[in-house]
Amino acid sequence: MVPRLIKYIENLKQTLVEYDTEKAVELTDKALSEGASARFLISEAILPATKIIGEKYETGEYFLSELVLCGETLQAVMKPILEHLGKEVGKKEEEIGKIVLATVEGDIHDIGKNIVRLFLQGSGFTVEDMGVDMPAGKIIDKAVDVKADIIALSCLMSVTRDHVKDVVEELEKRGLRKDFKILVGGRSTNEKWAGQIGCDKWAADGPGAVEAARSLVGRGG
Amino acid sequence: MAKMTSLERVATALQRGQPDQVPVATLAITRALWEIGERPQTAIDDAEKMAKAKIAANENFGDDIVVAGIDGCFVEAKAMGAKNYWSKHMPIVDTRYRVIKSWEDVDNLTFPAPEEHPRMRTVIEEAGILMDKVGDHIAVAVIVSGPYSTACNLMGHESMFRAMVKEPEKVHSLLDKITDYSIKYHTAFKGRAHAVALLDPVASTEATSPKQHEKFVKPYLARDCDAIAKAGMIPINHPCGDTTGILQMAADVIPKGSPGAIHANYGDVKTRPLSLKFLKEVVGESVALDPDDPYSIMLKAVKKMVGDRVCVCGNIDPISVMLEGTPDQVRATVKRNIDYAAEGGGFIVMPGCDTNPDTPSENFKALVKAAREYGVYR
Ligand code: B12
Repeated sequence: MVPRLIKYIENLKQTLVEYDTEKAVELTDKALSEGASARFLISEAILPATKIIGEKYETGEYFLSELVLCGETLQAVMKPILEHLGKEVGKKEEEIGKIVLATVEGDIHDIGKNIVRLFLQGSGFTVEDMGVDMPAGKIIDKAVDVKADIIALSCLMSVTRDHVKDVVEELEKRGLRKDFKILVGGRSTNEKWAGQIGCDKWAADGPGAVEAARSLVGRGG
Repeated sequence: MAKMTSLERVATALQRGQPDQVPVATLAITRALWEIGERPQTAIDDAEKMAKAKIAANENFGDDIVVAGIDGCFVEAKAMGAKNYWSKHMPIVDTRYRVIKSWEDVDNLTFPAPEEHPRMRTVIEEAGILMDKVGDHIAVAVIVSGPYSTACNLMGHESMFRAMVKEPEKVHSLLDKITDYSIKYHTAFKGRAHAVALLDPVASTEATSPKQHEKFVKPYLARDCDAIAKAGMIPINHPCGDTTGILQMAADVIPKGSPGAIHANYGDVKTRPLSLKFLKEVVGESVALDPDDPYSIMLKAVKKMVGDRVCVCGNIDPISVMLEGTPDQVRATVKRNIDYAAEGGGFIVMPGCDTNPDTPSENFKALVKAAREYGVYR
């Protein structure tokens, strides 16, 4: 890779972490016009930046404001990157994957879910956000309807964890379990439990959700 | 010490004094309706039914405080135009619909007089009935929303989180308006409530940074509490979740020298590393952690940090202990709470938040019984 591009990558990573949208978009455009591939930008700038953002959140340096702003900056740079990716693979615009997102039945918390949505959209996923307090049946209907790849569920309360299980069971009952990957998160959930009830992946926060969702659609690593 | 009435007991604790015994509240708020065979959907517009339910729950469980209201976090936002959404048991705000989509919308906000807005009027009437019927011997509190959480309900949380960084001046002018209006509603309880609990869940550190808390939560909440105190009522600050990093500020909003309290979950030492760090810093490395009860222990640090300035309330987990626990577990948790925080008074034992309607009656009864048993000051 030309040294100039490597410099762009470092700068782009930094502007993403510092949620400087204007500069990030400028750098992205420049890098693309000077020959960087979309895939290269995603793997060398976008994903490492998401990781750094996640770490800053975990250590208490970043709070939700920063997460929201980073999510929006990601979304802004992903637009030209996706368009370019479309050209690279000869399609109008490549879609990384489609996600149906909801807070499960009985649970009305949505702050965390909405932040996860920003990150998923920011990394190129199409997200159908159904809102809060969503019964399993409705979530599955929607996933079938929009031909989703992933069903992503948010659950903040221990009493509503059973409704995550409802989604898994209802999918099995309808013979659709193999058609969708299930990603789950939210304060009352954890990785071990998610595995036990038959979800495919769990993630701790927005950046983690991106990594998990990418690996679920076969774009991990 | 001579036996006090519930009201005397609560009032003494709120002034950081030592009553005859530790006051106790079940916070069977939504749940109270079940006690008279009603549901939120059937009773919410009827102040008589609401008050009847609260009194019935108080009689059945025997605690010291009755609480007016049910959708306390949402009433102000609804009065200013937010859309109602019925979850299973709770009329909340539908955050998909935003009252404030752009700053121009702030100029068009409506501020109906509290007595003329149906939802506000019903809560004011409910408090009035409670005060008339039991207020001479039971403490009457009302739940309302803090200005910051109201702003989030009007704008949507992400928009608020963005605006605090990008357009802080606009946020301040919005909060100023909301605070003016909130004060009108909150002081309308004058003579109808002894205490006003300001629910401000978004202000906890799960959602808002301490720096933002200092700028966007504290000054407005302090002004609100000041007005409540001037109207002769006692403010109770409820930032709901983790208070690590904001605890001093949360106590500072209570006017200096006035009675007042703080009530929250304070933090979960099992899943929040910062809470654990805070606890160890304040109480010392030797603290004994109970894996089944990650909340109670925080009382120890909270009492030590701010117990000289405000009354401390809490801290029984409404879900893992009150809803899912056995009466024995409730008893053991109450005992731990009292061991951690009762010394010298200025403490009211209660769940960390409103309880779930499916909470077993035996657990509410066990809570009060244990408080009466372990909470006597000698
Ligand atoms: C704000 C809040 C509220 C607000 C919600 C406003 C809203 N629009 O969302 C209001 C006041 C409405 C509320 C109501 C209630 N709440 Co509440 N609430 C909170 C609070 C203080 C913060 C939650 C929050 O937003 N955190 C910030 C976000 C960013 O974190 P997060 O949601 O965990 O999301 C992150 C990750 O988990 C992850 N994630 C989230 N979703 C997903 C999804 C996927 C797919 C993935 C991969 C990742 C992921 O990424 C996010 C970003 O990093 C917590 C306190 C706490 N300790 O968590 C209590 C808390 C969640 N609430 C609680 C309770 C009990 C209630 C009530 C029942 C109280 C009551 N009796 O009124 C009601 C619930 C009503 C209902 N049926 O749902 C309890 C739950 C306890 C339990 N063990 O189950 C908590 C933990 C407080 C406590 N300790 O008692 N609450």
